[in-house]
Amino acid sequence: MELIRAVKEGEVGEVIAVWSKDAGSQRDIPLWIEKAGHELLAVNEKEEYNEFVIKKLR
Amino acid sequence: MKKVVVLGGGVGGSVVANHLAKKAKRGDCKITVVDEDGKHVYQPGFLYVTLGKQSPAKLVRNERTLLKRSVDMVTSRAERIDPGERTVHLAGGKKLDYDYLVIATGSTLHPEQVPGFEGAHHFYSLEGSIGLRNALMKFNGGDVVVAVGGVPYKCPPAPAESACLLDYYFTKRGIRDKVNLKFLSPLGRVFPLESLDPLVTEVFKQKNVETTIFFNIESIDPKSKKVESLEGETVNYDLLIAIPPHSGADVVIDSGLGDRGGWIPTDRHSLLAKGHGDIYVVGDATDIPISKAGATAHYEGLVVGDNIAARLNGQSPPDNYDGKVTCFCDAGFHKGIMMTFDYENPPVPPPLNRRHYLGKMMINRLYWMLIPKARV
Ligand SMILES: Cc1cc2nc3c(=O)[nH]c(=O)nc-3n(C[C@H](O)[C@H](O)[C@H](O)COP(=O)(O)OP(=O)(O)OC[C@H]3O[C@@H](n4cnc5c(N)ncnc54)[C@H](O)[C@@H]3O)c2cc1C
Repeated sequence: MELIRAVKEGEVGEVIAVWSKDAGSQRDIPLWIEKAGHELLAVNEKEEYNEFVIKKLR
Repeated sequence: MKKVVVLGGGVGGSVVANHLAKKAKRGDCKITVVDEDGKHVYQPGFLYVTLGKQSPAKLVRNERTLLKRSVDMVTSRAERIDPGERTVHLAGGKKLDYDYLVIATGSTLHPEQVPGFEGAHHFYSLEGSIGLRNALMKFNGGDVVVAVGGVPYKCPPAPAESACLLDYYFTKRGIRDKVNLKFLSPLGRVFPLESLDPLVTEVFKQKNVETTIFFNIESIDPKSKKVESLEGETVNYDLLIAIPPHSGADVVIDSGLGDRGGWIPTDRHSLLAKGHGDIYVVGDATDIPISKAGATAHYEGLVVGDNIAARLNGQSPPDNYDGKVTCFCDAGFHKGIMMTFDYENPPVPPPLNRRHYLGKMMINRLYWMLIPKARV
């Protein structure tokens, strides 16, 4: 999942946006954010994909 | 005569060079492959080295012997690419000019990015596989943990394959009841390819492999034998098998051509590096979010060979990579699965059978004859 890579490579406090259109990620992204202890700031529904906005907390 | 320089003599680089040498008209281009150590390594064989079933020396060949005679070969490390000047700088100060550049430098392993990695074994290099084989031979029971140190990593099914083969290995040694096999998946499911996840979950259940999802290794404590995840969980081990974090090659990073992980932003159909009309990318080096696999590098290599041949001929390139990947997995006990998929079509859950196991064994044998030489 691209998100894990982006969060791992990011700095604490950084806000990261991930675009996703496959069904698996739609389900996994919020679950992972919760398990990993980060904050889901927003989910923006677009025509072709959803944008998840995440703040890296630790 | 146009100059085509191919960086990396692994799966992708060899296929591009040999396929283009066949397709291009004689005298149209001069193809030069640059490889750091001049060795071509068949990495799917590493798993069998760990089980003591494969001689390590047979997995390595001299790249020169795999290339057509019309292809030039330079054994040197590429240090920097200058796209403005269309030049590649090699170690020792030599320079190579190009009209078309193909980057096929694969992935680089970074065990040093995980604190305590010295407490783990892995099977992602030949040396690592030999070390793991020796550790397994001495192992007589306890918790064996298979885990992943970062995404993306090449051959996404390989860790699950390793867990299945360890179940087979310990059973054959008569000590399976003394071994607790644990599989820590970096994703929200056990198997990276979603449509196959139910099948693999069932296989793990039958083989008594314990699974944890969303476990991305953060650090390892070799003293207390614990592995900790990015997500905040801790698991104990007696023998830890950890996939090291991957990045793109140094030459890509040092030339400013990669993203944060050193993967090159690449157009998914033409395989041109984004923003560059004369640099193609194949194999692990791209940022395309599909499996980093030899099969991917192979199919991409054929497309890039066709694209360059067409452009040398003054025709428009077909630009038709459709994301095709074919993959055989060994599930142990002489059973296997085969998957084929592309950008539009996810893999259909295949049956687990002996035929697909034999398919994998056949590729292991015929690889050298068929794939790097671009005969298929
Ligand atoms: C354990 C394991 C099992 C696998 N099983 C499978 C499988 O069953 N099926 C499958 O399809 N794939 C499998 N793979 C994945 C597959 O091996 C890789 O995805 C594939 O080799 C990628 O091809 P490539 O051409 O991109 O890179 P590589 O084949 O890795 O080649 C890269 C080459 O570039 C050279 N290079 C790097 N930097 C430089 C530089 N600066 N200058 C000059 N040369 C350079 C390297 O020396 C190397 O020769 C497996 C991998 C592993 C580790």
